[in-house]
Amino acid sequence: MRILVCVKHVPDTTEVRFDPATQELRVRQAPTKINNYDENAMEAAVVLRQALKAEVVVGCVGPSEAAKTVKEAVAMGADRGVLVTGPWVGELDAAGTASVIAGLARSEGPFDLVLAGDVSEDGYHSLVPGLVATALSVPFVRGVSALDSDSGGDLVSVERQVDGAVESYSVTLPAVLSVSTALNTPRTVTKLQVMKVPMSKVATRSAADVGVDEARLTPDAAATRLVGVRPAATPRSNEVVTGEPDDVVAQIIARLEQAGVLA
Amino acid sequence: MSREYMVQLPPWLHWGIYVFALLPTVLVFGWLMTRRVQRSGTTWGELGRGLTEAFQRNPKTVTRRVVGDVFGQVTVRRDRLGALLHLLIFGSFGLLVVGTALVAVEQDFTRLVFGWRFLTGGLYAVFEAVLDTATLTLIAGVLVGMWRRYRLRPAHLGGRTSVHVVYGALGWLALSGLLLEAGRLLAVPVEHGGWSYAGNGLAALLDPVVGDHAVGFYQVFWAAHAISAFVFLALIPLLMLDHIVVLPLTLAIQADREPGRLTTPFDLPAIVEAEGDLEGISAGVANPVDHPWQRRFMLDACIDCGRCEAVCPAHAAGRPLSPRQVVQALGADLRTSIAAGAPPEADVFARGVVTEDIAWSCLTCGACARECPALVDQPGSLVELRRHLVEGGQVPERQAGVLEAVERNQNPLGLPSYQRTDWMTGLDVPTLAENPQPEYLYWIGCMAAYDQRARSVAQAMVKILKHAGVSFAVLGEEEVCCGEAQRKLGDEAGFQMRAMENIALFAGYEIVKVLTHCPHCLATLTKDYPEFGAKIEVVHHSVLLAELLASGKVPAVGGAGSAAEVGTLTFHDPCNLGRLGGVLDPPRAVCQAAAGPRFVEIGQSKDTSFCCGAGGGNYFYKVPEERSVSSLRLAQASATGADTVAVACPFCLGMLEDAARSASDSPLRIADLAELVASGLPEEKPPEEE
Ligand code: SF4
Ligand code: SF4
Repeated sequence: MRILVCVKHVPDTTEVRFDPATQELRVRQAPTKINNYDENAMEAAVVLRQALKAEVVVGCVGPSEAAKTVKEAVAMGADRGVLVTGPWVGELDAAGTASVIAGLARSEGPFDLVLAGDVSEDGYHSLVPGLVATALSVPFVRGVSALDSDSGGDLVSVERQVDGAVESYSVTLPAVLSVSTALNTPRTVTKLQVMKVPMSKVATRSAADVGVDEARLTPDAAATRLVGVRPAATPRSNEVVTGEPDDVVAQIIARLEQAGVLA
Repeated sequence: MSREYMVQLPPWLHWGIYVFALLPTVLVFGWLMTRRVQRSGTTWGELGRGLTEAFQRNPKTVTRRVVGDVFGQVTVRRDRLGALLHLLIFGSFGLLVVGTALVAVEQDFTRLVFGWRFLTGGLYAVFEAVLDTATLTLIAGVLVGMWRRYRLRPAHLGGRTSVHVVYGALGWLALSGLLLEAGRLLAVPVEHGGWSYAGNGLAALLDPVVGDHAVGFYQVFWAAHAISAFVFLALIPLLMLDHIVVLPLTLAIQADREPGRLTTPFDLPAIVEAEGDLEGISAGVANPVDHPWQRRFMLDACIDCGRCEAVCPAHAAGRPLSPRQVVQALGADLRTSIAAGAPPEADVFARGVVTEDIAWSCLTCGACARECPALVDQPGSLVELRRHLVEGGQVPERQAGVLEAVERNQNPLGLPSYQRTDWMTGLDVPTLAENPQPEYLYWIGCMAAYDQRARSVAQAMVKILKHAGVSFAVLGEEEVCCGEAQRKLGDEAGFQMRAMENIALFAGYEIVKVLTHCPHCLATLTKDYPEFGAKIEVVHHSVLLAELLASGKVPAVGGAGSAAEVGTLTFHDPCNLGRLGGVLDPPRAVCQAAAGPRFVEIGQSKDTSFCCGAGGGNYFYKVPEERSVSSLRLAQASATGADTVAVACPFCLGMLEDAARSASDSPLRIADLAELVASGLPEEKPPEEE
């Protein structure tokens, strides 16, 4: 079995700050890291690799610094990683990203399974895995919370949790799955394990290398474009309750009941 | 006056005792001792080299430690009852062996060769009296020991079965020695017999019973005593008395190990610098047999005395950790592996020798190591286990979160790095950019930078430094975590890379003197960083505060009603500062300045201090326990009747204050030394009014 795991190089959300003076999110200077959700996809792939002797390739579309994210993912237990990069990476929308990943999947492939995290911490669109599946014309399931390879046949059984129900699917390979954090607990990798991954295991490719025309990745070619960010004002009613603890508790309960929060 | 030597015994015994008794004893002892050494996979050759190296490295320390601990019983003395029985047995047994040897040397060497006898006259009289006394004190020691072991039964006492044999044998040797002496005095009465007062007294008692059989009586007990003594000496390597040989060796080999210093399995900065191969390097050990021979010998040297368990705060809190049991379990596992001749396939966790909870329970407070007569490095061994867990990715979520936070947010609290300087808003704190050549670089540390409560320590220090006119600067946004949590949690490589970066940062600013109020940073910067090339002097704020108070640069706290606020004051020694850092007096000088005669000591203080519960990264995660370590420490502090507990560490501040809050009946106030001193400062005035 051959598995491609898509990982995204994202700004560290715990380090992104909103500057009240300029009304801007200071994303650019923030330190970067591997998208947390993709770590669950990596973990699932590493488990399959151990169980089925599967080959696991990490794929990433991002700036050249994203090589460290690829290295980190490979350190979790992949065979190698590929970073597709170019001057165009900053301008990609979801469809553009998906087209590059699909190109990567074809040029490095064929893959039986393409895994990704459900969402990315910076965009929260949850679009790319589905678009990759479309581009590759293979089935797609998102929100995967359980995954069983059926000992390596051309089917996988998956489960996903939706609104209090658990759906079970049998999916024909090749397929794209995006996984939820309920699937597993990603292993921790240490600094040393990351440092031990030789750079020879992380290949860098251009758009042309994976068969995508760079001209189709310009901002003008993009179907969607981010034009602005502003803080969403959430109306809050602040009330201060004072008194003895017992009294305060009673008061708070009464208010919550009034507001219909507590039945 | 002199000893009637071997009277009424066959003359061939003069040489026969050497050929038939002493020689076999020495041979058997040597053979058994060699096996004893080899059971931990160690050879005499390695031990010899280890000893030579230790003496070459640090002759003074090694000599002081070995002489102090063997003859001065420095470490053993710390446990009162244990000290009493050990001193009685060790001293008496030593005297008796030396005494007996002296008689042999005189009779069979100096007398035969030079015709010279030295055990004569007054000296002989004293000699006899001393040996009789030693026999009695040996019996007393055995009785105290048996009373402790069989009646008092302190919970921490381990139980090597051979202890029973040793007590029995020592008692019998003392008794048979007295009986043979009584027999000799009856068989060949001498004028000066009164000097052998115990034997003489016994002889008087036995006279009516023994009657005409004195010679036979003497011969029987002589033989019984001699045979049992030689057999006993030969078998020492099999008994817990093997420590007579093993402990001085392990002490000497490790004498210069600094308290609280962890092992350094590799030098990553150097390898990275040389672009060396990282493949082969690893930290931590999967099995005790993987340790280098010194540590194997150390683990196998444990005498199961339980001194470590008795003082372990984690054990007292009902955590699954007993340092004694861990060392015993690792030692036993080591011996099994060596005997099997092949390393086990699975690691100690998979085989159930220790559990992960045990490894995470340790506070690296060093209380155990301070008491250990075998100089076992219990916290170091537990950190080695953590390193192994970390390397295998077997890290519990909370600990993993801490390690990740240090990498991502540059602080173990997981707060955004850009909030690091929030504490200094509006305080006009000079940064290195503003004061590029300060006397002190004031290193704030993550706790005071991020923890809402601990911030006030740094704020108080800034106030004090400004008042006293001390030249200082902070790194501000450039400061990052020192890496203490990484190292204590077992992420050795992460720690080393961080150390490398911080050392480069210090060097870039040409920093020579660092001031810090955090003993964890202090320990890391002074104990860990120098190994990677740091050349800095680090001063704890308690030391500087004591100096400033002594020189009158800041006023003692007594002014403006502040004494009433402090009330009766006690001081909690942070492990990293006191026991492990050796800074004991300066914080007390500050406390004296704050409370004068109303300063009282906690029972467990200075180098016997009890951890607040935060050490070894424990501030950031939980392990199963029956009580919290901090509540135990708080109880010890409040037993002094104090109103205020002074601390000198932001972690202790957080832990003890939490404990005081949850013990709703505790009116104790917890304050850092800096906060106490700052409270004595006059209100800040604009400079022109001064
Ligand atoms: S480790 Fe040291 S203190 Fe603990 S039982 Fe062994 S010898 Fe005694
Ligand atoms: S270092 Fe402290 S917590 Fe750890 S085993 Fe020793 S006494 Fe117990």
